[in-house]
Amino acid sequence: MKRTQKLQNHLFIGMAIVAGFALLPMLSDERFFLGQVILFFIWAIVAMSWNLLAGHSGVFSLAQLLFVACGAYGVAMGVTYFGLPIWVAIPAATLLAVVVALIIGLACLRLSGVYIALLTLAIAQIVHSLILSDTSCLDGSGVSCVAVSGGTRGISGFDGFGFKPILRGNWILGNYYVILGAFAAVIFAIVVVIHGRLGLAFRAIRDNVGYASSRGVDRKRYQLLAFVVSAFFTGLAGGLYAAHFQFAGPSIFEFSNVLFVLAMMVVGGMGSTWGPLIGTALIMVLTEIATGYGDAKNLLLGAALIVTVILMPNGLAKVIDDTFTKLRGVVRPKTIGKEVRN
Amino acid sequence: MTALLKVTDLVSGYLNRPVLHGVSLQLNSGDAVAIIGPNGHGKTTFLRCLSGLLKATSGTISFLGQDVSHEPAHRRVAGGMVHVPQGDQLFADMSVEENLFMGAYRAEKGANLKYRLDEVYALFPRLAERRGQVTKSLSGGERRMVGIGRGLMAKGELLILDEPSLGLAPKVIEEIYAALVEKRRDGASILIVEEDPSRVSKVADQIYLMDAGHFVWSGSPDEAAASEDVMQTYLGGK
Amino acid sequence: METLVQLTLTSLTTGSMYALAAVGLSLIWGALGMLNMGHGAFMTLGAYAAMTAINALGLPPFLGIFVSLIVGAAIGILAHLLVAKWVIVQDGAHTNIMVATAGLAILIEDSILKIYGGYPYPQPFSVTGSVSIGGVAVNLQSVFILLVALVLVGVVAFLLLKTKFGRAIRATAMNRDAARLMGVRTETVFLQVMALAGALAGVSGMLISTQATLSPMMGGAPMLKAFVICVVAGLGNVWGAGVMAIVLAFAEVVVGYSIGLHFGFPAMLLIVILVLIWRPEGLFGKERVVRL
Repeated sequence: MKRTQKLQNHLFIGMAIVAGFALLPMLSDERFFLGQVILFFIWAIVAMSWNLLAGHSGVFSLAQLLFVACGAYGVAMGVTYFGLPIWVAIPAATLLAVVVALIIGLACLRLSGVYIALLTLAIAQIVHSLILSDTSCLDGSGVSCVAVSGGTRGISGFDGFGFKPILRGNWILGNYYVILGAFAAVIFAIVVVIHGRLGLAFRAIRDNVGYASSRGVDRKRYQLLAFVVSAFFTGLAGGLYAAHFQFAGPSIFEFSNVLFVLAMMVVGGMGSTWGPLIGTALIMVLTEIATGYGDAKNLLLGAALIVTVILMPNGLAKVIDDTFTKLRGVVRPKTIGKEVRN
Repeated sequence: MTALLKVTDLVSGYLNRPVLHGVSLQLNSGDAVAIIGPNGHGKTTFLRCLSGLLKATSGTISFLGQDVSHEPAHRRVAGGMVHVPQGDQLFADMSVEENLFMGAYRAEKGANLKYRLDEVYALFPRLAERRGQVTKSLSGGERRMVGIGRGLMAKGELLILDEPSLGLAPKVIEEIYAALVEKRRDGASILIVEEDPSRVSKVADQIYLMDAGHFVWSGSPDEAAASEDVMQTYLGGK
Repeated sequence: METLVQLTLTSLTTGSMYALAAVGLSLIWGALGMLNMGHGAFMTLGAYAAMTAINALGLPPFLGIFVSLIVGAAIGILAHLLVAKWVIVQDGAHTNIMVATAGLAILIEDSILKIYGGYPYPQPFSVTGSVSIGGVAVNLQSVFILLVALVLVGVVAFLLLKTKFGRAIRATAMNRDAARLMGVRTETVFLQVMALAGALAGVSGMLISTQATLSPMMGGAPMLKAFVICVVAGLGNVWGAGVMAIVLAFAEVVVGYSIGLHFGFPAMLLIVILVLIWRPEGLFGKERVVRL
């Protein structure tokens, strides 16, 4: 299939997905349900951007949730401390995430492979622990000391999208369509990147650095680009998160939440186009069920990660793809002579 | 004459790319067999299959009368099949002596390793001088000597050598081959892979020519010298 | 002067605990080519195992060390048999194994949380008293930690350098295929390395818990520090990891003392990033970290 044809097909799939979600509130306008779908949009953006970076560009960064935090804290602080209107705060916070990503990327992308994972994880976790132990006093009174970063409690109670006075009881619909719009923009952008020349360059570097370099593809430049683009979308998701929940706190990027989103990407399928979307839906439903059974969310996440990696290392997307191929009766060449690696 | 190594209809390759298409070969105890042929036509793959680094898709490998096709690599070594891989594959941060001791990793308890070590040093005196040196600081020729010496330390039944002349200066190649000839005189069984027949003729009794995963010709070194046209076809002019 | 002695001693104590964790991490990386994200959970498990053995089974506190050693080795073996073994043979094993061991980590930590709750327990094992060295009162507990770490690192060094078992581990780390051609059962080596590294992590966790308290997430921070240490030393460089552990602990302790406790680790990380900008291959890195 030609590349443009493939891109077209994926854009059609994307349109169908967005159209489906646009009509969804007609079926149910229950607030809890719509809230969950909004959360799905946000995590799906994060998982798809992460997949663009890790799955397609081969940069296994563990700082993605830090960029969510940048977006969220950016909005929270922008609105609370600087009185920015929400529609200014979100782009500003997204920009903040991009700048942070640029700095981290410049430092970390000098390294390769697991070293990037280690360093990004360390940086994200240190920021996390600094916020947790933040005891700086904003008002200085000492008694009701409020840290600049909000400390363990985070920052809350600032103004959100502001649909409550306009739409009253249906305010969540306002949030829903705004975030759906962002979700649509991001998934179209990511599909275009993945199936365009840029995605091709990303994957060339992922699969064979030496060859790509010899063909004039500069590893560091493209990886930094992937890092920053991915952080842009991720930061935006963080900004939307804060605007919707009117909250930003350290729980956003604590390690179990990193694994939560990681599971979405991995279970869905790293390196695929729609895998992370499937993964996000599945992991959200499963953890919702698991939370009901004696708070077994983290146990489920751990098990899901291990089982996926062992049994279907390419995720659900590959399994679905293979099933379709089999149904169409296309015979794939049999694998012969397995290299003994242990 | 008992067959030391008997390979029947061996098929193998990497992932979905078959490399060997039904290869058969017999090597009797005390014999030396050489496999020659152009690069990228399955010689190394064949050896990796023999020593168990690569699984065979079908066919059998029997060694000392036993079917070892499904044995893991370490069992084959313990059984006496010793593979000196292409490009030495030394333990770079270990000393010469430690590398040599690794060669005798499967030696039975109470084996006289000191004696084996002295034998290797007698064969390659330069290694004795460098015994404490880390192998990554050695010259290419010295590294090759360590690689072969490490193989000899195992005192196996069959010594498999993958291109012992690869990347070496002619003078060093001569040194290496002189050592191999000496080992032959002691009655060692050797399976050797090289690109062209000129060097192996001193060592081998039988030459197999491999092309595109098949043996396309076999004969004695004299016959090989006589059938220049066959050699030309597959190996190109000199 | 007195402050300097105290700071040095604290650094040595802290550094020796980090060293135990970092050396194990580096060993696993070297031999199996995998990054064990479960290392912190192994440490936590070692600490809780010791506490449980002492409190519930009434074991003499001193034996707690051996309990954490054995339980650490056991979880290392289990992690290999249940998880690592199946993943390290895959394409893209480097990333997959991080994901799988991270999953294992949260599984272990959450199980501990479910069994013991989030309440921070004290580690019952402690050495009380102090001695005076050159007029400076030195906590015996620190001396004890230092001794245990030294003995363990000594044992590991002896095993690796002087025994056939250790030579097989090093051979596997340097060249897996060649090791197999020598007749090394690499599968067994992997198990041994996981057991060894697990045991070190278990004891490390137990020692760390004597300095603070036990909590289900206690392994997280020390694991990150061990990661950072390994990055600076170059992954797989076991000796470098040991040395860097002490050096970085010194930086952490000095900054923590002079600027503020919770800036110790960030300062350590900053130093690491600066070092990496200067030398991307790590301080002792002989192998190139950045390929092309």
